[in-house]
Amino acid sequence: MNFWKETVSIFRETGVHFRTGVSYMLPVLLIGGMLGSLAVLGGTDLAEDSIWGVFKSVGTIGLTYFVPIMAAYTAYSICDTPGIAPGFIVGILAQQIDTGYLGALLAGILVGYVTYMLLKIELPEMLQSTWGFLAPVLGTLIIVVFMVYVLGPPIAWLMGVLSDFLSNLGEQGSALMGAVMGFLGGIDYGGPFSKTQSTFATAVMDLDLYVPLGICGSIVTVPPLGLCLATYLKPKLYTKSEREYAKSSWVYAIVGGFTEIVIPLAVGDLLRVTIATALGSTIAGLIAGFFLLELSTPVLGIAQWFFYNKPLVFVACVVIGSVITALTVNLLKSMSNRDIAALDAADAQMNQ
Amino acid sequence: MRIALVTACLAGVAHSKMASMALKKEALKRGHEIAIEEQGGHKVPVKLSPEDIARADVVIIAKMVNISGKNRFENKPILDVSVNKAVINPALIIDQAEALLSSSS
Repeated sequence: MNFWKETVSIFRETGVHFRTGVSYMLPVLLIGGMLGSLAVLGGTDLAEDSIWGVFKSVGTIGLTYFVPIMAAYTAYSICDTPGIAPGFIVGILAQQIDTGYLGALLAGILVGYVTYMLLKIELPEMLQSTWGFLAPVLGTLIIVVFMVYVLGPPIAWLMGVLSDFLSNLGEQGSALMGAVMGFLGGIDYGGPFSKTQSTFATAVMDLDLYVPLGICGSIVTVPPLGLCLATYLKPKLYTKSEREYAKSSWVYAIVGGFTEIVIPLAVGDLLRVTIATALGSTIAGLIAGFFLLELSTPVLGIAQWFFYNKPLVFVACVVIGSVITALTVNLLKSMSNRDIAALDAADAQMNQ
Repeated sequence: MRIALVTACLAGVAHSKMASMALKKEALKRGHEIAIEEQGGHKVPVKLSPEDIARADVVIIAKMVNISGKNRFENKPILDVSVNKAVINPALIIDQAEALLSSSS
């Protein structure tokens, strides 16, 4: 039946819809976080009418509305433009009934799905265009009732528990959380595991918790910098194309802070490289967690060091993590018998 | 073969670029023509022109997030793949595109 086929095809791509929402939400968070962080320059006691006060309040706008934007574009991913308005409204509702990020995400997916299905109903031509206006209204209504009376209360409870738990972790608990996040961030270079930890870090900003993002920020720079460092320390262990790549990639590590750029350095020798980056990131995360490193701007590069609450801890995390990664990967590689000359020859042949 | 390629990733910084570079290299090596559009949160995409789309024999969409403007490609054979796969194994993707074209023509 067509209905089931559509349903299955929408929910099979839940991950894609979710990530589409995150993709549109990130710039909002970025603007809010950066302007809010700039306000710190004005000191801690801000007058409402000073320019720093304005920055602060603009920052708060970004940090508040990223959740509805995410819900809006999750729905957009499912049913295109008609999904934006319903998604936005249920996203704000989700925030108001204290279900936060998680509630907004679920509501966005559900409202997108319901609106899409309603729009698929076939009507006589005359009614079809009117239905185009009404379907999103009806879809929103259904999900609003569902959220408020069915899904809302248990999620709100869950978010409350999570918030209490994370706020009271203390140093050891945070260190453990940092180690776990570091491990996830170091094993798949921007794949599902890394995205899980970075999404978690941005999600809890909605609960006014900034330690996870601090951890996230310090671990993402470790794999790229560590591997670059490793190629400089022992160039003999790397093929010519890997060395060439490393020469330019460290720049990206500093400005961007995303682990995807190490993929070309990793694919040739995946297991050893992964062990090294996971180890380095885990230790960096552990240190960041223990010192309760906080970051309220999702800009994860070294160039943004001054946004951290403890810049020195951040630098220490990055340096220690990178050095450990570099030494480990070179040790593992020197124990292997990877034939660099043969790989170079193969590369040269391919580029001809 | 003429390819129209759209890549889309979370932030529009890393994966979309890497996928388009990998596929471009592979396509040119085999003597195909390729037109590229990269999408993602932080950039204004350089759009495929209507001529690019009209001329294309096959459309490849390498995505991590849903692309905008999918309705532009109606009536075209579309190959829908994950962006990661395109980065790691571009040759396979181009193989699939070639197979798709020969099966649809």
